[in-house]
Amino acid sequence: MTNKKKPHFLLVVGLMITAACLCFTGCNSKNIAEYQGTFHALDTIAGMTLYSDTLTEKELAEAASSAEDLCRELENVFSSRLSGSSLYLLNGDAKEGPVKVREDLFYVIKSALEYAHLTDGAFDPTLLDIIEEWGIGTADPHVPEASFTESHKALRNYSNVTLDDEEASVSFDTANFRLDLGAIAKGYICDRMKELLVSEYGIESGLINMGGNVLTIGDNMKKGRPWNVGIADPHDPSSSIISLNVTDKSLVTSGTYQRYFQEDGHIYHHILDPFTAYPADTGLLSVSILTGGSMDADALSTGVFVLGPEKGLKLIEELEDTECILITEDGEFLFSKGAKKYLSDQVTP
Amino acid sequence: MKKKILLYTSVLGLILISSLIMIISQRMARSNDPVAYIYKDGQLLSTIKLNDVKETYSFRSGSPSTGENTITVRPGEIGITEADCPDKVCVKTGFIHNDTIPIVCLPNKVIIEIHGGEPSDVDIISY
Repeated sequence: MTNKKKPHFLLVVGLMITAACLCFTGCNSKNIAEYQGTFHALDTIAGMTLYSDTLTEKELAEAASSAEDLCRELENVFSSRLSGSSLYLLNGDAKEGPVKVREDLFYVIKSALEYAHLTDGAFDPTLLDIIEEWGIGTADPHVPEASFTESHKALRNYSNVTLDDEEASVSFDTANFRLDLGAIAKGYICDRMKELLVSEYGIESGLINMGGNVLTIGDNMKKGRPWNVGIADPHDPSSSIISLNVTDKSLVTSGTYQRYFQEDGHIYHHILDPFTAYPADTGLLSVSILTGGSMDADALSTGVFVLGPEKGLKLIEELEDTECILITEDGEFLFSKGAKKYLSDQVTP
Repeated sequence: MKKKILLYTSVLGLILISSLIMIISQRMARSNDPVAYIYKDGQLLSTIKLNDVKETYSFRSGSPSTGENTITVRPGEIGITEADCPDKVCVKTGFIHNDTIPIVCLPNKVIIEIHGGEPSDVDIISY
């Protein structure tokens, strides 16, 4: 009797071990299709990571291609540098009188003006002349003449942009400024790409990265957890200094450490303070904003940087579902009240 | 009876050995070496197995007309250490050792990406 049962017992145990082994080798990859790709747009590099357990890799690639096309189409609307873009043409014509603009451009200009008022002018979309004069990121960055900064500082020209909601038209009340949407349009474009990927292709898991502006779709399906989004170490931007669990939210960082130039021993970074027409000097190295929409995170990261830690944190505490993490020049981390619950690793603030 | 036991044992042995081979080969595929892919103007210039690098070395990519970057390779990592571009964002990015962030020199149209290597816990970096 026992002799007869032994082989069967061995077979059952063997099959169980085999099943366990097969599970180890096969379960992790659970037929998740994956797309990863990068492309140049908006003077930066953009990237997408998409996962799906219902779409094929080919379908994911088609979805990514559509999102890339949308990005390129919108770049031709929002770029202040591309001659022929909608914004470029508006800057030329709006001082002559109301100019009817595309719905999306109208919406972003309106949002930019709202953020200008919300931040009491710390975020100001009317600084193109100052940005071009400094030339940071171009072949000829330089400190402008004092006469230039004196005559261009604290103008609050955002108050001189008039919008007509019914006509979707924009006009400039004075002729001494031009709009630049560089601190808000990248975020808006990320939002539109996400909307396309989710509503038209049913993507449930993905990442959109527009030169460091990060927008997540759902969770990281491949790893079965929220997206783990790092914040760049200001002293070594290729490394993450702290990271957050992010689901269906955007994390945007404005920092001093990548776009800057040195002159006479001074470092001049690209985040300009409208009140001085100089790079913002608020004791911060970076500001990261975590919120649902990437456009909001984009505008707020610049606004809070210019406002500085005290006023910036106060503003963020007043906003719903919005958190921030600031890194100061002293290496200190400052968190809004709800930010720490998103932390995904140990830090010593 | 002995024949039956021998048969069962052989079948079991075969199944176990093939499962072990599957596990080992998959683990090996996962921990493959990090490879740097260097692109210029959309074209793949070269690939470098970073774990094979024993000593630090540098080389130039591009020309004065297309923009020059000095690429430095160290054991397990790669970076751009000099560039004639105006903003030097590529140099300021530092050295990379995994696929979390690429090095990008937009003016000179150079991109360096790493594929493979130990997967990072961080999916992406906001900068």
